[in-house]
Amino acid sequence: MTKRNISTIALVIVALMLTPVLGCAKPAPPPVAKPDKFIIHHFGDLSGPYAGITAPLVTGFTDFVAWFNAERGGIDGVPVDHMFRDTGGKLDAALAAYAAFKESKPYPVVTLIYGSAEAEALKERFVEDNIFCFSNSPGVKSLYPVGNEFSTIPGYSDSMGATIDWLADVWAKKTGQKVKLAILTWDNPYGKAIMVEETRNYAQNKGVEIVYEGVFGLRDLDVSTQMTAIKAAGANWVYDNTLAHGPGVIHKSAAALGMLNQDLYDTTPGKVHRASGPWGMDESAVMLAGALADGVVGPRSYASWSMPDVEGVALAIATADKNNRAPKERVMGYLAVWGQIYTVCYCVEKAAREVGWDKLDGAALKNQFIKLKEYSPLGLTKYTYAADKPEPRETRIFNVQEGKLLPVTDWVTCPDLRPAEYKK
Amino acid sequence: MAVARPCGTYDESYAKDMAIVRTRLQWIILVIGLVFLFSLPLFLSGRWLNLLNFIGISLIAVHGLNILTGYCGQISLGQAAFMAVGAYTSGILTAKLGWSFWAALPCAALSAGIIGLIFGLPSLRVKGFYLAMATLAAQFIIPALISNPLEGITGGVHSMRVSAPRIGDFACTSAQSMFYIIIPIAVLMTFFAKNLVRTGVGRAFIAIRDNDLAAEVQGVNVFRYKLLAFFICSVYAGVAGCLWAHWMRAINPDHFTLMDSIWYVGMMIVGGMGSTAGAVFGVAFLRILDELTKVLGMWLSGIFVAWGAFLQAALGPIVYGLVIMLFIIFEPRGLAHRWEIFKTSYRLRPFAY
Repeated sequence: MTKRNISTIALVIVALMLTPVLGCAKPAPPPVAKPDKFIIHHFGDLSGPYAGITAPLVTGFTDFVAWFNAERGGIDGVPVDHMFRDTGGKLDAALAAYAAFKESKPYPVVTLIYGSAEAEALKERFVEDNIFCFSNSPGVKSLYPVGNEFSTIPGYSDSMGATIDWLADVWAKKTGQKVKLAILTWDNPYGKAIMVEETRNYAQNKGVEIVYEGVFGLRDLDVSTQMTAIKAAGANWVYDNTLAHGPGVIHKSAAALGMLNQDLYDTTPGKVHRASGPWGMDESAVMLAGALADGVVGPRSYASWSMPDVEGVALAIATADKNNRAPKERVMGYLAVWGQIYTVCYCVEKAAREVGWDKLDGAALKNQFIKLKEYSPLGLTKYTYAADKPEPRETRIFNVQEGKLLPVTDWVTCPDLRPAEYKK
Repeated sequence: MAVARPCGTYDESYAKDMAIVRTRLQWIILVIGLVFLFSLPLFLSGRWLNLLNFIGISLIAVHGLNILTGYCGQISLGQAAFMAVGAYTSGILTAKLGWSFWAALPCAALSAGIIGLIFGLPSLRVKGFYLAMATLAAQFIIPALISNPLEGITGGVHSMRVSAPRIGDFACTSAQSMFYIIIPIAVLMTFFAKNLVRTGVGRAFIAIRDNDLAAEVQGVNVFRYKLLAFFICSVYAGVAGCLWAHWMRAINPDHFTLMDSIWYVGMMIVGGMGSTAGAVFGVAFLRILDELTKVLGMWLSGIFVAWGAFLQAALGPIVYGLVIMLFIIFEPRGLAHRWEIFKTSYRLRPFAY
């Protein structure tokens, strides 16, 4: 008997001895079936005061989902679907939409929301119900203490901080002028989110003097009185945290009083430059303000439609062209939602691979978001989150030039202006 | 309209004539109805309980408005603002001073009632359209006060966090648990509203509504009763606001808008002014209609993709506006009148008259 035969016989005997043991072992569990589709729920105001902002988000959502399923084959082969409900900007309707989504099968993992009031009101419910929320409204009250709501853009005060950085480090140095900043914003939670001690102290530390703080109503179409006070205070910059028609109202009143300075580095006394918050640097606000928007500066964490070299913008342009989207729909919301849903899909895919589709829930998705560091979905934006900071940090300063929104800085990290009690 | 008694039912005493529940059958129906109502959480999903909770809160607000407008003839366009008073009173007492929901509830009612009294003062001098304008002032002044001068205690335009009501160690955070707080209070408030109109106060209200000069000649202190109507209306709004705050768990001046006040007037019109049952019908009808238009809008937007956003956004407001318009034209006395016609014709069966 050769050595080879002895080895073969030995192997057969060992195999025969192991057979009963292996036979008693539990069979391997069948692989968990993937769901038929992955539903992303979202609700917002399509028939109320913020309809102009929400409508392009919903349009972008629809177009993205169709593109993503057709071109990328969904999330690991699972098609993406979405379910939207209009709230009319009313909180009871938002809660009704949330209750309806919670009843849907399969149980929701992620919800996108667009309004400040619902973001604040639903904060605790998202935690109780273990649903991850990707919110377009980064108010302090909805984000802190950290729950399940993560913001799609840097916080409003952080964004203003980035603008203050640019004013102090670039504009002031280039012109040799001291920045005298006036804050004129909407009298609502969104508008007044920048009127906090953190931004005031930060401005002071950067040598930017806040000479005026005022508000105006969502439906006010003239702010001449406030502009007169701003002139008297000696301001050379006016910053607002409004959107849609809001920035245009200020431009118009400033222009009517001969105060609007559209030449970025001009320092004519008595004239003011304009800066606007993240949603004020939206194509829709520029379109509504027309030529008066030229020269406006502000933070924007998403690429603009004037940047076709960016992969996501090129794809969005092609999709919008294919679907005959009107110019009013080709605004920041459309692009923003492409970046947002792409990121959600990316995190869902990673979470599903890590915990399995059957265990995929809000907590698992939140964990994936916390791991995002300078993640750039299709080049549209950058997301960096941390367990104690559920809002991205990177933005760019944009400038409106002949109706086009173009970045004047590379990516910058916003200063951390969340309230001190929420810092580690 | 004259209400026909069920066949064989006679009022043998004044007390029986005045009774809210007159017959044994009515008692049986009432008990079965209440048992059914309170067993709803056993077989309804959270979504429908959420709707019922909103119906309960709106019902309380509309009952108050119905007492003021339907019974006393004094119009108010500030009901949502009075709700805000109740909501913020309760929010401040519970969130800032650590009071329990149960202690804050009567304080919210009282504070809203007092503020309602102040805004009811113009009713001495003006009525009709002008009084509507005067009460409209509440809708501007109260949210403005909450947003700005009182920012230090209310949080201004930022939402104020409000805790869920607690029963011992149990926090009522779910739709089911809140149902057992909101609905019993709504039932009680409905009973009070129904009871009020058969008291001397209620009759004084009706006398003022029908002809205030004649009422004064009869010895009714018109100003006192008008103010009392404003007080009661606002107390109801305060209770509704308090429940709203603790159900939402966050309040903001934007939650209490003129549009909401108009919604409550619309509910009262559709249900039928001057009828307690009308308030129930109006609130339930419009709240369910609102939910149905949303579901229908979603369904239609799936079929007509190009019109998707339009259908979801516009269907609700269009249907709501049309319903109010059609009711004013074809049934100004509201659903309550239809209900009375149905009951009367049923009682006269098989006769046609």
